[in-house]
Amino acid sequence: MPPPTTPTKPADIFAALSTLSISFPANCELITLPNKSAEPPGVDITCVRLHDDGTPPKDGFSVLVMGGIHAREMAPPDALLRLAQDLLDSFKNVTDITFGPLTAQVNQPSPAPPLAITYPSYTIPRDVVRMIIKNIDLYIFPCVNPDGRLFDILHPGFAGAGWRKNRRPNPDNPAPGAVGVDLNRNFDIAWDFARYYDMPSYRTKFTRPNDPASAVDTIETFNGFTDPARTVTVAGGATGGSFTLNFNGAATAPIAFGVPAATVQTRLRALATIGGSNVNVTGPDGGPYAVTFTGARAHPVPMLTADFALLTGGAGSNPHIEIRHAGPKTEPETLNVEWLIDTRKIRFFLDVHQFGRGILVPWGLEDNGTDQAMTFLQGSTWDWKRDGLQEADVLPPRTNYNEYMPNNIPYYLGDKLTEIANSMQNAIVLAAGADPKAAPGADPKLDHSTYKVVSSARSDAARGVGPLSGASDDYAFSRQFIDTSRVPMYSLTVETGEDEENGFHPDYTAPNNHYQKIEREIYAAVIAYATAAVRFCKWCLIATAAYGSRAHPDVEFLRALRDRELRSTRYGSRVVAILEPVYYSFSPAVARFLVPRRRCRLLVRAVIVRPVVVTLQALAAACKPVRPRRLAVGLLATAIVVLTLLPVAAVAWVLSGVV
Amino acid sequence: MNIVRVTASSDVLRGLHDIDGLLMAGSVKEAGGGAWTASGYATDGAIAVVRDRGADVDILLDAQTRMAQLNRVAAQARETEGSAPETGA
Repeated sequence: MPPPTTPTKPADIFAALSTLSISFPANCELITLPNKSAEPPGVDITCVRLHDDGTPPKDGFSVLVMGGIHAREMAPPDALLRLAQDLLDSFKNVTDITFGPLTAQVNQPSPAPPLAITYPSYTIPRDVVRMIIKNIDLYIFPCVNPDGRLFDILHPGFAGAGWRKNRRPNPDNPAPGAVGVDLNRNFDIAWDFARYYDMPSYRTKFTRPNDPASAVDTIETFNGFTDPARTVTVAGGATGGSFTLNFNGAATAPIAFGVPAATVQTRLRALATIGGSNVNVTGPDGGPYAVTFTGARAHPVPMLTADFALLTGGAGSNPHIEIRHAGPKTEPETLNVEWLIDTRKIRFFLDVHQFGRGILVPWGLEDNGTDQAMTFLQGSTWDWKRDGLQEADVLPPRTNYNEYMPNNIPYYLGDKLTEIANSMQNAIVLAAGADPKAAPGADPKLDHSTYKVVSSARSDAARGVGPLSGASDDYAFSRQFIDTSRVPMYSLTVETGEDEENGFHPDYTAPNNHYQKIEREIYAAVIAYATAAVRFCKWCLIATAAYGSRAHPDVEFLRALRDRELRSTRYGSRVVAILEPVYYSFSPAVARFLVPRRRCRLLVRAVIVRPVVVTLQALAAACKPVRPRRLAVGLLATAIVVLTLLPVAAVAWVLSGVV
Repeated sequence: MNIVRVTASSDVLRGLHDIDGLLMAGSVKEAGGGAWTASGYATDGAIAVVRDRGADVDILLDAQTRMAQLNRVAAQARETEGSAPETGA
C-alpha cells in the first residue's frame, strides 16, 4: 500500500484499524478505549494490539507506542497506522518490510532552494518482525486526539501554527482559542503545576521577562479543568503589596495583601469569565481563602493561577501565592491512555511527537538524581518547594531538588533508557543509509537524519522553557514507583521531523516527500524500541544480580546465546518461548532477594552461574559444526534446561523458604 | 505565519516570548559560540521585531507557500468529509 498523499482523517484511521483486526484476527486485537472524545457527541477511540497467534495479553511484556496526542502533529498517526499494517503483513506472509530509494527535500534558509537528498532502500527483515510479534504485545495507538486532529486538518493555520489541544468545550469563555486542553500536560503526574514547583524559584530561570509572572503556568501548562473548589494562600513571609488572580483568560484587578475574603470575591466576580455571583470566597482576612465556583460555574472549570510579583516581604522572605486545586479532572483522551497503560500493564512506553528530531529521556519533571527521598510521590513534603532548576542555579542555603532515578542492579533504569534511546538514534541513521561516523557536513543524509538524545527536563531550557508536569512519558514511567510489581518500566518521547520539513505539517507529496522520510524514521525508531524491549526485558536477572552488572561477560554470553543462537531458528524460538515464562515467573523474586545479600550472590555465582556458563560455552563451541542447525540448537536448549533452570529453580525454592 | 529558525544567545531567546505573532516550537539546538537555534512560526511583523532584538532569523518556509499546502489538504479533506464512516459516532 503506498503512503498517503494527505494526512489521514481520524475516522479513516479508526476504520483502518478495524479492518486490520478483521483481516488479521489471529494477530490483531481491536481495543475500543473506555472514553469517547471530549467534543460532543464524542467519537469512539480505538487502538490495536499486535500479538503472537491467538495469545491473550502478556503481563510484563507489553509495549505501547502512541501518536497524535498533539492535534497538529500530522505525521505520527499516519506512520503508526501504516506500521501496524506492515507489521501484520510481514508477520503473516513472512516477508520483509521494504522501502525503495527515496528522494526527499529539506527547506533551506531563504532564498536558497530546497535541498534534495536521496536515501537508499531500507529493509526491516522478517526475522526482526517475527521476533517482536512472537515475544511482546505491541500496542499501537495512532490517534489519541481525534477531535483535535480533524479540527487542525479542516482549519488550516488556526492560531498560526495549528491546533494543539483537544476540543473540550469551554462554555465560560467565548474566545476561539479557549476551547480544549493540552492533553500532554493533563496526565495524573504532578498535575497541579504551580503546586508542584516553588514558582518564585522556578521563575528566576524560566520567567519570561515581559510576560505576566503567571504566564509560565497559565500559558505553557494549561493542564485542564478541575472541580470547582480551591484554596488560595498568601505565603512565603509576605507582608505587603498586591497580587492578581487569573481565571479562564482574564486577570483580576490588584488584590492588596491582607484584604478580607469579601474583597477577593468582589474582584473575582468582576471577571467576565466568572460573572454575577458565580463564585464565593470565604476565610479570614489575608487568607487562606476558600474559593468555590457556584451557580453557572458549578462544574469543572479551568485552574486558577496567580501573578504575585508585586507582593512584598522582609529580608530573606519568598512571598508568593499557593493555590491548591481539588484534583485532576483529566480529559477523556488522557484517561484512555492512562487506562491502557494501567490495565494492560505496559512496560515500555513510547510517545511519538513532532517536531525537533529528538529523543527525550525522563524525567521531564526535573533533573535526575539518586536521592530516594526526592520523588513526585512526596507531595505533602515537597509541594511548593521543588525548584525546577539545575544545581548551579540553586542558591544556598537551598537544597537542589532532583527527581529520583534509580540506576542500580538489576535494572539500571537510567543507563538503559539512554541505551535504548541511543539504539533508536542509531537505527534512524542507518535507515537513512548514512555513515554514522561521517564528519558534520560530509554526508547530508546524516546531517538531516540525526536525532539528539536529550534530557526531557532540559530540552528547551535555552529558550526559557523549564521542566514541565503532567506529561504522558512521566506518567507511564511513574507507574513503577507507585506499584513496585511493575518494575522495571521504561518510557521515552521521540520528536520526529524538523522545521526544515515544514514543522508540524510535513508535505506528503513529491518533490518534498517530507512525510515519506519521517515515516521511515518512525519505523526505524519504533522497531529499535520494540527490539530493545524484547532483549532488555528478558536478560538473565539472576546472573545479573549475582555479578552486580548486566555488562559482565557471563551475563552477555547468556543473553547472546539466547538471542543469537536459540532464536536463530524457528525451533529455537519455540524453545525460548516455552522456557521464558517459566524462568521469568520466579527470577525477579530471586534477583530481588540476592541484590542486598552479598554472600548469597557469591554463592550463586560460584556454584551455579559460573559452572553453567563454562559448560554452555564449551557445548556451544562443540555444537558450532553440528548440522543440521536444528540439532545444535536442540542440544543447547536441552543443556540450558538441565544446567540453568533446574538448579536455579531449586535455589529459588530454598530461598522462598528462607524468605 | 512563516516557519523560521531563530539564532541568538539564550538570554535573547528567553526575551522573545512577549512578541505578538511569534510562536517558538520544536527543540533548541546549540549553534556554537554560545548561540542557540530555536524553531518557530512568525508573522512578517514579528520577524522584524525579533531581528531588532538582536537575533538572526532565517525563513525556511514563507507563509504563502505554507498556507497553500495547508489549504490544499483542507480542501481534499472537506471533499471526502462524510464519505468515510465516523467510527462509533
